Amino acid sequence: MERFLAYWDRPTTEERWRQRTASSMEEIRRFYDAMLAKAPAAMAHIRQFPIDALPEPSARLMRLCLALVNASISVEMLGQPRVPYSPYPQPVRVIRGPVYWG
Amino acid sequence: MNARTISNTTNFTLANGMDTRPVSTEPYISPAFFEMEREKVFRKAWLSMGRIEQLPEPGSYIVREVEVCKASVLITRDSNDQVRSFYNVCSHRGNTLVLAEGGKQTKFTCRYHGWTYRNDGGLVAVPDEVNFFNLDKKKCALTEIATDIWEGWIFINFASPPEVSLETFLGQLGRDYRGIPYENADHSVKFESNLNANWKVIADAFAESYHVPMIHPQTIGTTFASKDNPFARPVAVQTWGPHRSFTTFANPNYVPPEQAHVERLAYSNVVAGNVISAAPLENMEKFLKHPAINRTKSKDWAADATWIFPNFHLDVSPGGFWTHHFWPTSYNSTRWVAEYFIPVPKDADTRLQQEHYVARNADVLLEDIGNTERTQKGLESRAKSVMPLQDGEALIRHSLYQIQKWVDAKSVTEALL
Repeated sequence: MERFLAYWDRPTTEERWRQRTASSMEEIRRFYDAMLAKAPAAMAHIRQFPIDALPEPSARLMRLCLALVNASISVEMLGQPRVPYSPYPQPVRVIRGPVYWG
Repeated sequence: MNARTISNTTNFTLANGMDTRPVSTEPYISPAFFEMEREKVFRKAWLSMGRIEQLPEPGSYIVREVEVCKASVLITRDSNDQVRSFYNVCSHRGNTLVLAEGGKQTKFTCRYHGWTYRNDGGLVAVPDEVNFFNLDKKKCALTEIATDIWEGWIFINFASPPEVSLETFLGQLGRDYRGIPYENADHSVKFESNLNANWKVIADAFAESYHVPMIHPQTIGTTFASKDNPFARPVAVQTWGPHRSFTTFANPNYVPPEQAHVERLAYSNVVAGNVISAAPLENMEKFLKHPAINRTKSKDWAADATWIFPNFHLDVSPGGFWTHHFWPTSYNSTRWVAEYFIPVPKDADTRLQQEHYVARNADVLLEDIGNTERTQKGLESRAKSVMPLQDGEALIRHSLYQIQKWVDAKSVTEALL
């Protein structure tokens, strides 16, 4: 996972969206495939802890799972990194995401 | 050409007392019309500012920009739980008093010369007061803006005094929508954008489902249309004076496709209402039973979008509610804000599902608004002077009618007739 940490581990929903939309489909796909394989075990590990008291390595794993979710929009729905026919950089901002790493 | 018959069409436009002619494009592109909207609509109507939960305790305050009225608005909650709004303007030389967006403070000090106000607007301290000339502090309170609360929604009115009460303004809609329990009203996911389009172009985009199969084919298209309703026609449309609502259709058989592994993973441990709302179903019973929600109790229900005049959308669905506000910043630019009220996640599975909901929604919103600047450009070219609207676009027609009514009326009472 280390090779993905620097790029995909982001603290907010907005940043995860921006990272994904700035990536090529190959980069998104590479991360998606690697992380999807790890996701069930990662979530099982994370479930051991209360969500508001994750030790940092586990929190990092959670953020990567969240990044996987963002990447999945490109892979499972759009078939490309970004929504077609929309302006880029995207003018919509996520001012506040869900609580915890939002 | 398809002939219109009773059996192959909906009947919302005529049923709501409107005619069927194409509508003028002028209100979307005319600076002069925008000035009339500013004076006759935005300076006279009750405007939605947010939820009472955004002022969670005595001493809480928020600041809201209302560019169309050239105002920054300070909204406070005092120790008696009284909610008031003020122009965020120091009584000395007009500086902006509060620079933060919100917080908890019972006194506010202007950073220019140190004038200090209580959260009830009273001026309490003036440095070097003796060197003024007969300064009466009691006459230097913050200028108050009429404020009222309906069902936990804070409204303000820039008229001094407002011609009609909030209760009169909301009328039968206000009564019909009483008692809806707004779950998770204390937390919201918030999207914002500044767009180069008239505020109505953007409000219109969220007031019809006709666009869904074309604009959202991969993100939500299969959830809003089906063999039985291929064009995503509304289930119902209703109007109350200047306000309006439509009920959208949901494909009850939607499941994530086979290869949507992450979507399936995200939803595997959470039973959410549907893909366009985030909260779990178990809290929604009381909400769903309310007579005003999904009025016809259609089993194929996705969401009700209620458009409270002039610029506030209050949308509800099986999993919760969300809002849109469309704040004009000029005749052809808008600050749009959408808030989705979802619970604080109690566990990692819920947090994961919420991320999927927000991530999909972010791209859905991008699909909607990506179109709006192109539309504005097309309208401003004056290539066309009218727009034909179909029956499913009845809310757009109603909005234009009502705005024209307010612009033409000599009083709010006349506009509400």
